[in-house]
Amino acid sequence: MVKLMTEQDMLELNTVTNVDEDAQEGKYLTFSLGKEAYGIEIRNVTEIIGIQHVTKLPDTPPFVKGVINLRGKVIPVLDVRLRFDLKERKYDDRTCIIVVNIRNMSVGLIVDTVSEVLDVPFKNIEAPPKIKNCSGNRYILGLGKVGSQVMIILDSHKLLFGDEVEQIADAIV
Amino acid sequence: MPDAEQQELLLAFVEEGNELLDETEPLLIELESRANESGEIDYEILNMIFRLFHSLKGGSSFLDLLTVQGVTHEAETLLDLFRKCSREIHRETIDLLTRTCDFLRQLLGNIQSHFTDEGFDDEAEKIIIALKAQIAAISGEGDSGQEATPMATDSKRRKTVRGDGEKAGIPTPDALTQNDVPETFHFAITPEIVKQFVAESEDLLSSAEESFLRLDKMPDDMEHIDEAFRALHSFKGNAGFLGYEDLEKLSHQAETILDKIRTQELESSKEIFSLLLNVLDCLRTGISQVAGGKEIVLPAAKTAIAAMHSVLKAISPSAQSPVDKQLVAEQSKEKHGQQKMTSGTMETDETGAAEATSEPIALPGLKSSGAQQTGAERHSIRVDVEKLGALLELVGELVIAEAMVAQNPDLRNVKTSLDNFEKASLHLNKITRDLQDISTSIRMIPLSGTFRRMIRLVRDLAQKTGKKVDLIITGENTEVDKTVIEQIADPLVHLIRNAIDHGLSTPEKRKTFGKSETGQLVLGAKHVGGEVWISIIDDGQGLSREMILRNAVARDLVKGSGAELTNDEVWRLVFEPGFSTAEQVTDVSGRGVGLDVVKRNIENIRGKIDIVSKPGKGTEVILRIPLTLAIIDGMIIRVGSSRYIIPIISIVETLRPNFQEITVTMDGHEILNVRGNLCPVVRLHEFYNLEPSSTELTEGIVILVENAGKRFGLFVDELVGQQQVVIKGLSEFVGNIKAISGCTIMGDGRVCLIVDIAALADLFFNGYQTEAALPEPLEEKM
Repeated sequence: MVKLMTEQDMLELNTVTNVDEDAQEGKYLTFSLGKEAYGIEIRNVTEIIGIQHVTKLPDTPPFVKGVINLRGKVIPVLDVRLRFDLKERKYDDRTCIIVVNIRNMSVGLIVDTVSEVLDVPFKNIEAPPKIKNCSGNRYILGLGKVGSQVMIILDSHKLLFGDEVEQIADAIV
Repeated sequence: MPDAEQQELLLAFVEEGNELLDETEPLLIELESRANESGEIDYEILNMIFRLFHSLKGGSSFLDLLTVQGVTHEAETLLDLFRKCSREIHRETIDLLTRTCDFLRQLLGNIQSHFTDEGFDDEAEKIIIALKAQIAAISGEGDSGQEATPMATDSKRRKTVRGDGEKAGIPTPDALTQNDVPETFHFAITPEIVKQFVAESEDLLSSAEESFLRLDKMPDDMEHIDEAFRALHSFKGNAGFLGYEDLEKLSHQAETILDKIRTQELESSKEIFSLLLNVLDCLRTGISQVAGGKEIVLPAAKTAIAAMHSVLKAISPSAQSPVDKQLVAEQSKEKHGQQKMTSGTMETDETGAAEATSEPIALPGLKSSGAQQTGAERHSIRVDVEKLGALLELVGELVIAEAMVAQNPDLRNVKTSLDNFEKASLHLNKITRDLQDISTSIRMIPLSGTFRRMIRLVRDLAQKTGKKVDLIITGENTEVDKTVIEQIADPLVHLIRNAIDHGLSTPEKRKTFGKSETGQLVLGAKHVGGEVWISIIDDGQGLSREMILRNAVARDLVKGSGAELTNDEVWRLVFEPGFSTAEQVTDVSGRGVGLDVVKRNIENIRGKIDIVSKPGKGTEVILRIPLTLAIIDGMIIRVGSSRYIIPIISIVETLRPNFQEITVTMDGHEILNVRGNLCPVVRLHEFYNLEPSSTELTEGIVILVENAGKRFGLFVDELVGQQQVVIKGLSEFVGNIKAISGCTIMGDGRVCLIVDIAALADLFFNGYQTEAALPEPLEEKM
């Protein structure tokens, strides 16, 4: 129960703190891994680029694929599939890198395809159901209902930094 | 808390103050050693010190820093006493003044963090009392035994200054290393001082001019009168110090006029200001003559002075008379003055033109104020370091972008001739390289500041340890990157401490060895290839192999007896954390911290340390530092499909091993016999977990690298080429990566990682195992 509260709190926190700054409020960039649709808050996204040569980094977790050259800046890229412990898939010409900027750090997220930007009103977002032993849940900010479809809204902070954020959140609670 | 503007002023003052103190300390010591040698005070140095304290005082009073002001004022008074009567200068005085410098530094530090110099009343009082006591003692002496009148010494001094000023063109190589010929003042007016004077004067005159021009429009603006007065006053002071009498006289007159206006004795008017502007022009001519290394010839000065005189005369009798009358008198006199002045201008112009034909360099000054800057140009500006950093980064990116365009793979598909493109691209390439060279050189500053700080250190240490030390500084004008300067100050302090504390012996001991009583310490810098070598050489007892080994074994830094280690490896042990051979922990050194700091700092800037030591003869420590931190020469190598860069500085040689040269131990370690030297081999593909083209040593290339005196081989598939690369940091997101120091972007736009040889060696020799693949020992190392 505590955890559920935390996430809801955080969701509210995010929405409350960004009311002023954002016309992008409630807008999500959707992408897909396999047949599932995911969304991340558009305000964290700086650009979307096609897949390009990735230089492998030794000695990093498998989901850190390496670094790329983004117009003279070297940024790390993560494979979101591997982050979620999904099966790896060969990159093709629909594979995209979503560049997000969080805590002043640019990081690329490798996804199967990028679809569109959707408006999801706050009332259409539900907290994820609490199911036992489901570790993937920690990346989920909420489930957004778009028509008859359901989109998994991701917490981009946790996507990048994993449990670290959770620990901080726990510490606050 | 003061407002932002005030804070900025304070910070600027702190920066300037520290610079001034940096200059002062070596001068004090120079003054002392001169006095010891010849028994006389070197007035040039004394004057310079006086001037430095004076500047500090001026700044502090402007900013209401009362403590600083109080202390500097007393110090100045003390120095002034020495200027006025030729007293002998004692060690206590120098000690006191150096202590004063320390205290001032402390104050500056406080200002920097808290924007105030309050809260040091006790210390300040102590220092001031001590200074006052000295002043009292000296002036007491001076009264009884004063010989030559101050005036006499003064004018004598002037003469020597002028004499020296004239031959200032002759370079005085390194005043600090010349301790012979004490009777000539070769430390007197160096070309640098003249240069500084010229630059400063240009500023002062410009600001005075600006004020005059404003005043020309609104003659009653007191603020501008004050400003002009201040500028002229400072100029007068400087000119006086350097013995430029004509300039001093002229500015003095102008100052007097301004003062009269200030006190309302003289009505300000357009005429007066154009007269003053004329004076400024005159001064400018003088300055450009100084800058050109010529005698000051100011034919216009006399007329200008006469004109000013008449203006002043006009008011003195009528000063108390009714206002109306005064005004009338003044106006008529002013007209007179103006006439004279115009004739003055004519004259200058004429002579200017006449002389310009014979001496075109010195005199273009008079014709237009724009062209006159030839000699008296500003030589430097202060720039935010961040801006420089940003510039450098952009240039780095430009270099990469240029390569990406010129070597673009698309060009290969072009069917038509690329001649024109190649010409243009070559041109672009040249400009880019030039731009890169210049922008890196911007961040380069000479080592002199850092080196000079050591003079003080050496003196203090010599006193503390009771040893006699001659410090010789060479190559202080060698320029290195700013970051290097910051990183090198601490190591130098530690190395010098060690050299004096452990290296040099006491005078008695030295005598028994048949050496001169005074030990020699050479601090030098020079360019060697793409590196700067900074060496600290002492002629002391040298490092003792036995003692180092005994200590290293006792501290578990060496396994076994260490007898098999080479001298070089033994010397390196002193840089291990916790190492110390000093039997006793002294005030100066011996706690075993210090030299490992040296190693760390030097490695931070990708430098290396070489030690040469001969028992009984001395020790030489050479810090080899790359010229710039942003760009390295790299060897691009390939392992499987990955490319890595190895800094060329670490590479000894590359070779393709023969079958017979390889020995494999039971652990699976491969040892390569390179002409008798046995080197272990690191397989880069195993280290980085890559898929190599070949796993046979004989089919690839072994790159022999050296780190901290240890040689080992790196097995790779192929050498791709050699290239200058711009270093970029990896994202914070991925943190520190095993033995990778950074990355760069290659011509084809791909990212290439740079191997950190030092870290790799550390992992390989101390923490890395081929098979067991232990979980990251790196983290505890960092």
